[in-house]
Amino acid sequence: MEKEILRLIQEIGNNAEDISPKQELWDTGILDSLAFITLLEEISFRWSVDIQPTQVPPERWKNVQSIAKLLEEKLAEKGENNE
Amino acid sequence: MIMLEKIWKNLREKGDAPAYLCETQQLSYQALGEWAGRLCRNLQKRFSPGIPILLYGHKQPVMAAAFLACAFGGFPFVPVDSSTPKERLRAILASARPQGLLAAEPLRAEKIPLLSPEVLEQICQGGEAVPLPFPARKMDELFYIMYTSGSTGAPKGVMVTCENLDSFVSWMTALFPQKPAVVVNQAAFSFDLSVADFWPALFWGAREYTLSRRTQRDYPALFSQLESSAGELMVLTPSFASLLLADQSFCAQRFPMLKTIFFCGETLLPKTAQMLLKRFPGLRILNAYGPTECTVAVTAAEIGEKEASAALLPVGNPKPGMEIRIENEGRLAEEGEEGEIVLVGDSVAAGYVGTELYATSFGMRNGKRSYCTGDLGWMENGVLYCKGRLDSQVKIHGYRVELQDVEKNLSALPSVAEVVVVSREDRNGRTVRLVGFVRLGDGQNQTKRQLQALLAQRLPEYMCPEIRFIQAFPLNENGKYDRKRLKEIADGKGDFAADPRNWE
Repeated sequence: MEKEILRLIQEIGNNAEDISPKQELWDTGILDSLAFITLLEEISFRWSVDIQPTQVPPERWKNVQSIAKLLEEKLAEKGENNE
Repeated sequence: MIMLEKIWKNLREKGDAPAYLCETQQLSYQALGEWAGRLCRNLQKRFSPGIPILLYGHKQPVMAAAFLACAFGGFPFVPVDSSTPKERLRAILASARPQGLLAAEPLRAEKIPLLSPEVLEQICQGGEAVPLPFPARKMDELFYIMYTSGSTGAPKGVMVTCENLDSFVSWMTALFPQKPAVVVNQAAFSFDLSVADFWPALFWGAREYTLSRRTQRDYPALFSQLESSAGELMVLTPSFASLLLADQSFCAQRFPMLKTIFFCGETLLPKTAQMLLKRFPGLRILNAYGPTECTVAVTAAEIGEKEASAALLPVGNPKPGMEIRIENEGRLAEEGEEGEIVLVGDSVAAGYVGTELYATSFGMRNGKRSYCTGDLGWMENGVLYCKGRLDSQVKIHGYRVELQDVEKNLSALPSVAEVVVVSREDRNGRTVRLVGFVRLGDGQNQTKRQLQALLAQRLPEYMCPEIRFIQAFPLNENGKYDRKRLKEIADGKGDFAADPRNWE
């Protein structure tokens, strides 16, 4: 998951080609609000998970690692709900 | 000025009614009037009317007081948001040549009298109450100077007069038969979209509810503040609406008070309008159009279900006092024929600070001031449609960016030999970012990050492009930079990227 999110951020972030999983994404300008909308749209498109940003504390979007963990949780929740 | 007289009256009569809020700080009409009154008196002792004062900060209540103090004291003001990088601020100072600087956030300046945040606070809150003088502005006096991206690489200051603003506010407020009680502000004060909420809100005697930069980056906080605002009118850029719509809870159930959204600053996409109408049945959407040079907006269209299903949304009829001409190679275009949108009338600003450089876009038509917008559009049954740009200006988040401005600033970095900047759009056609193709000078080995950091000292964040190194630029048949090709590369299309000769 972490690798996939890393690749996604590299694609949509600003100057994100050489980022690392723990690198902060907002203060560095890699993500801004427009890139964030794209991130949500891509997550919805690729993993069929609609994350409601108001349900997520902002620090969970801070780096690739935390986003990957968030997405894993959301996928697990989704699995439970389907059972 | 009709607007200031109305505000003067509200400040005296509205008492405890909330006037201005940012995060946890709120001022009532009485408090705002008192702060502004003391500051106005103080400024009148220090400074001469008619010469600009620069206001630096974000959305602190003292900024609101400073706007009023300048407006009533007869000082044209230059709002500069605190996110503005130092070099850009320096360029603005050099151009506007303000006689003083009011800083709501820490700032150092040489050779210009500066009132620090602490001093401002003391002035506003200390001592006896001083009533604001009854407004005695002449209509041709400058009210504010708003800086915007210029193609020379230096920001250019648009000089807006009392007449311009009075005319805008009387038109905009007349669009609302019922006064909104709460107006939500998104835009920074250095972006003239904010003029469409700040001044009308005070004119109505409503509460101006601002969303700080920090709040806008924190969804849970943003939504809870929006909820507690009970905002009836929101003044937004379409990109910001997309941001809100990304969360399902942006809907009438959670925000039952929202009646109207006033959009300006960039193209409103039909998809965004449709989603809004679905989430907020009966919502009134106003799609407005106008450049900073014509005081925020000069046309507005109501977008209902029917209008929202079109491929391109109309931007509406001109406000009173304005005429729209579509010009094509010097002649007036026929009905429905495309051409450059030329705006004529009382909303056209007094020009740029240090005018001669840009004298070409301002002019006279039939004895009235005119401005050639550089926007491409047409008229149909008296309604204006705006299609795009004739030049290389783009909008990011509603902010206007001249690609040449970015290019000039990138080229100014010592290690850079050649540069072309293009915009990149997402799959909805929204401009999401800029890409700067850079060829470094011989023997230079700076990294992208280093260039990025240097550029960030010169340009606001939204203007800083993603950097890509290139060895040789693709050229078109005319021997000019092939921008179309570069755009494809930026979008990840085309085979150019695969050719190793072109890449590092």
